[in-house]
Amino acid sequence: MLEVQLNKTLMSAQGTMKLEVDTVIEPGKITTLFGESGAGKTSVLRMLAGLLKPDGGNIVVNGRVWYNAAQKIALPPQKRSIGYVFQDYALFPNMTVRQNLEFAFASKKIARQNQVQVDQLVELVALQSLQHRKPHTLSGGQCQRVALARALVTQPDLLLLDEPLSALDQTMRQRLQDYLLQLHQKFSPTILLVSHDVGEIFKVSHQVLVLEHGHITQKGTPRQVFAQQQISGKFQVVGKVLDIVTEGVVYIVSVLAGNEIIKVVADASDITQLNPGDEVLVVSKAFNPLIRKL
Amino acid sequence: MNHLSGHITHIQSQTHLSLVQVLVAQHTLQVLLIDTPQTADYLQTGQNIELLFKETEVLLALAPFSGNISVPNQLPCTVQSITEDTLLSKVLLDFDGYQIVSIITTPALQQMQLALGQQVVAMVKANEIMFAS
Repeated sequence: MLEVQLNKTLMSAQGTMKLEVDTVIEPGKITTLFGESGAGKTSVLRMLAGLLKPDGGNIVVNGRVWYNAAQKIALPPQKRSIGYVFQDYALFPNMTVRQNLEFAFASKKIARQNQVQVDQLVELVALQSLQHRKPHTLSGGQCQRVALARALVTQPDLLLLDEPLSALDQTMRQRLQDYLLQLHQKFSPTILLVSHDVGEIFKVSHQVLVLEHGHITQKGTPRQVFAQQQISGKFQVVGKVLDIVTEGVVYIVSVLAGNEIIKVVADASDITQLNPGDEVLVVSKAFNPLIRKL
Repeated sequence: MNHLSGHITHIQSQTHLSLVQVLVAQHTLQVLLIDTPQTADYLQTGQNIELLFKETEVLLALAPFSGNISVPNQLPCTVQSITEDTLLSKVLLDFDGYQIVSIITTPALQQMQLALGQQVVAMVKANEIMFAS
């Protein structure tokens, strides 16, 4: 379990903001930190990683104190068991994919002792054929897979992902989300993810913390946080409205859900406040869809 | 979508399925769902609940309807307005103060010879209604 109490006065272009966060992060789950730019999301991650000093508070990870202002405890980043993945992946350009993974260990000796772990991760993110290549010869999605694998190779107590997929195109994003879920299934790391993409949050996260002006204002499952109502329909898909066309007395709404475009017939009352670009929940009953083997 | 609100009066459950009776404006509607009181906390008698169903899943019959049909929800309604288009038509109905919309094919509308103020029965299958709470 992760107990996090942090406060910090942050300076920004808009003036000063007081960040006060007091929460518990579930072990072995993917928790998303959601909020507007400047709400303090990256600052929370940086304080957890030990890269930014809080003004006060307490961080306890699996019973171990990482930070305690009153007791003057502040472990340096290298003493905290964390993995950190940034948007720009930050791989070492002079090392191969495999060397990048091995470098995550404290010494070459420990890296040698953990070759099985390295092999397993290289295989899980499908990088076997690329493991002896240098980062500049890889695509953005491949680099991000290396960064994810590297962050997990030491089996950290906490994996921090700061908008790791936001620079990738939609198809690559979907694939990386699948890899992330596979990795999570295999190793069950505790993950704190920063994401703006509601579809992505529904797909990968168990818990959402909404951060507004430095304070957590909502906490719950993606459905509790983003859907105003609980709907009993068992066939639920989150997507983004691409297009709304009218055809006589009905409207046809095209929704991008994952990589698929689905179409929904809607009544005038359904689309009064709906615009292209809006995030939507598409719901049907479990009785309606047909199913057939491919 | 169509919205009605009511409260749960009876729940009959098997292992995974429940058939729930909901009282809406003096009429009992039946809703079939893959949930039981063990899996959904709103499944309790007396619970206020919203019912949602699609306009295109509302069948219409002229009243009084005397045939034998497997649709359990048969709601007596009055036709308030009709909008006719090439393939589809929209019929706005009054159901005890609730508005219900039915979207049916225009040939079906024409063969029924529906008129404003006419009494009809709006039919919705039990498995077409969702709960929202």
